[in-house]
Amino acid sequence: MNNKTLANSIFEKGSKLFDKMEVYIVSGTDTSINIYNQEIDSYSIAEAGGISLRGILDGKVGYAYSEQVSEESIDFLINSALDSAKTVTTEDLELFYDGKELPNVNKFESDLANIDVKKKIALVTELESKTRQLSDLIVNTSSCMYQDTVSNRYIANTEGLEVESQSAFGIVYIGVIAKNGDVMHDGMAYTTFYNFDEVNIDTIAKEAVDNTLSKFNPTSVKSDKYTVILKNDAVSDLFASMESVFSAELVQKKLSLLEGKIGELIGSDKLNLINDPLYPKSIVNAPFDAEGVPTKKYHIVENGVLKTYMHNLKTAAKMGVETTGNASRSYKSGMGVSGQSLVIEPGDLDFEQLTEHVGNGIVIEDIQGLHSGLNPISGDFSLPAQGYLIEDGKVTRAVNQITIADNFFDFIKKIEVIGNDVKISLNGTIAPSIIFTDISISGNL
Amino acid sequence: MNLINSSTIERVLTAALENGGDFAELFIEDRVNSSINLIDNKIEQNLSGRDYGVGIRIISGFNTVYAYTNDDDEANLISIARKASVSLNKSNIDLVLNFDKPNTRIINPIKVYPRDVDVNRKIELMKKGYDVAKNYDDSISQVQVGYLDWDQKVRIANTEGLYVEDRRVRTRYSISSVAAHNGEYQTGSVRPGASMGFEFYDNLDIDALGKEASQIAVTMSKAKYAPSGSLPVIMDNAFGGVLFHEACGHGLEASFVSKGTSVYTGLLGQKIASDCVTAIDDGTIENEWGSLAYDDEGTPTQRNVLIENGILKSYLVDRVNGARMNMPSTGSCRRESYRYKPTSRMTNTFIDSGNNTREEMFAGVEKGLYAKKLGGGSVNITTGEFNFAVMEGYLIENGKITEPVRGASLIGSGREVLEKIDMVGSDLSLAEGMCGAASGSIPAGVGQPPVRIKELTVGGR
Repeated sequence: MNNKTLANSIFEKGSKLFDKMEVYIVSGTDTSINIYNQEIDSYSIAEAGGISLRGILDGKVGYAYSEQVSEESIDFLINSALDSAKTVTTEDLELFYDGKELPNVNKFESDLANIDVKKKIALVTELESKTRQLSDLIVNTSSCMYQDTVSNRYIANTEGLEVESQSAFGIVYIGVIAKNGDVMHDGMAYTTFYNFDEVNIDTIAKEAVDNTLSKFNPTSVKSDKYTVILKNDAVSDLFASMESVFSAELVQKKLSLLEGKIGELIGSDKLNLINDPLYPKSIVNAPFDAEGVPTKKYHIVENGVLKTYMHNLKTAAKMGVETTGNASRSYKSGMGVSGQSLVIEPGDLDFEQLTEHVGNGIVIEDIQGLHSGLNPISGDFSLPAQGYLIEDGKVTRAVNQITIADNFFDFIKKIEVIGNDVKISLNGTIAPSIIFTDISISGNL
Repeated sequence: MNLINSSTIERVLTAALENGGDFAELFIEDRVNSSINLIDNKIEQNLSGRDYGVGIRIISGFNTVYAYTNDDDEANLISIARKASVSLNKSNIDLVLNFDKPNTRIINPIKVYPRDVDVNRKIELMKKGYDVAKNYDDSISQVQVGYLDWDQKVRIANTEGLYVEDRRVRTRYSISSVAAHNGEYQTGSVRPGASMGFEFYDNLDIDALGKEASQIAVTMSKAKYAPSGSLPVIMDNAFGGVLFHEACGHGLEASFVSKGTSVYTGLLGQKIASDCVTAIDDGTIENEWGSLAYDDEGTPTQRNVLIENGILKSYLVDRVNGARMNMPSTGSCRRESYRYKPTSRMTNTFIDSGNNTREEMFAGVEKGLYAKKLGGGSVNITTGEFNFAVMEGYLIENGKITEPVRGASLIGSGREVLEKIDMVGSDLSLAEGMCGAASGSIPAGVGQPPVRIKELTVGGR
């Protein structure tokens, strides 16, 4: 059954039961190859997806989904969504888009679906061997992986909307383990791409090995306040974990401390946080959001001032504003809000210039435990970290067994300089390295 | 579960080994989920869904091919199986498969299946929890209540003649409270669950749960920041078990041990913890959150003694990684769904009861931290460095619990912390969590009695 036929079957069957209906259908192919000791340790290929129905009855919305697509599942979807709508008591109105403004669906440019799988296998097999050859200290790889996803998203409703888009991206990742005497350290490198030829395995191999070897002979530090450079990956991780505080949905649920702060200075005036749905090479690009509304590029934070929350149709109506095109969901969830390629606008200095500027301090390259040591509602975080000392403007020794602690809403006021080394992360946030001053670091020296 | 019959299974498995491989397995999953969210005393969302699919795993030596699909048509499954095995080496296997009826086994008896429960009974429970939590204190600014249940049917068949069926029913209830104080928010939550049907709620004390979530939020909203530095830590029972889960549990999974990437590789029979530490992983505890009758490759689950009086006795082993290690499976193979290749994971993992009393533990501490309740944590398998968050903490001064403190993560190294446990209490209790790793997010039980650690780094300010 193709998507359009399936959608129309559902609309027909449900027409007497619901006031309005919308289907959201996702399908795709995932390929994943793991190499170990020059052999395929595991190889996975899958075609899977799902369909979700949301239906409105007397102003209340019900949701249901199924991964099994058949006549029987259409009945399941309609009946479950109906039962669901009948129990909802919230007064918030969920709105459907009528599709009157069409999105700019860029010509889809990715060759990944057409590359023979043997070429993909050969690429990561060579990556593993090149990486191992770069140093005698490399004893193992924890992961050497190629992964690509080609997917299709179709949204149609009874109000006139019908949109469809494809997306594809790939990730190559290698985790490396080195041993010197009795001591082991690990490191990694990764890259994201749309087209196969974009992958440079020499660059990734070198980055992974350098990253691993630089961790030997680490020291902890004395617990104190330091000037810290948070590296681009770590900045992305932190902002991605706190993204929900900018969502109108959470503000309206009284779960965000940014409530009532539009127009206020909430961070350093150097901070510009932009929602950019078509950022080149980002893996979360989207021409339209999960309600079919065209996405747009705009400032969430401009020179430190909070300009707007991120909205979907429901949250926007509640606040009397226009949607910002940030509706998001999976077929298994209800309608929510999230950023598409949240970008922290870069500054002028490269990484070496940042360390020069700092003089004496700490680089934090990696933060862990974000799902537990960080609370978006309070903004508090206390995260284990690792990185390097900066002494007289240069990176010297590795640092580990430390934690960085602060409250996010205070933390973003402590930005001193933003670098220009922007990196596209795996979570859809794009950031450069940033200097923060007066930051609590705990250690055991 | 009648969608794929045994002769189809036989034909697909036979096709799977035609081009290569020496072992093939089918994992068929049909799962119905329901989740309800309540906020501001209103039902915001009530969502039902059906997960359905087939995972095909083909193994040659130590190499695995994995394919999955939602389309259970026999021709499609056979075509996928043939395509998937093309990359493996050919073996000559004479396959004679004869699947009659799948074996079953009950570890978690269920009395009331989710689909037989009127949704209004679920909603009533949620409203009760909301009211108790919201009315606890004027400073409570928001309360969210969640209810979820699922009914997962799986059938597993492989080319060694294994053919089993398992049904996993689980339910979980959560209350999250936010307290507002001086322009700041602090949170507290409770999330009990079990491998049970709706009868779980017969004995659940929602009043106590609502009060607990809000009490944590209110206490923490008035707490000062935790100190920084190395301190003795007393971790209370139940969710304190996150300590062992991160510090040691993952490091004992065969997927890491077999490849030499875990700090615990090659240490079987050696002393890796203090004498007072005995640790168990048991997937057979009746109705416990992490329990299941068969693991996700069809091996019956069992009770595994991991550490006995400080000595490492066992790893958590699955079939494929066990073959690398020359060890049999310990019934520890799990996956989130048919979309994941399964591997060694935990079930219910806990430090066993000891002999010390709480009084003894506190008496010896001049300045320390009492971690009454933990949030989650994570670990670096290679270096053994782990961390976990403290949800509710207090200072210990001269043996007494004094003020509440907040915003602290505890970090350490797995190998070191096990040897720094110097007292283990007797009040063992288990708690529920979700554990994420390579084969996806799975329900895992954690637990311990109260435990004292001589020294951990506290990441305060």
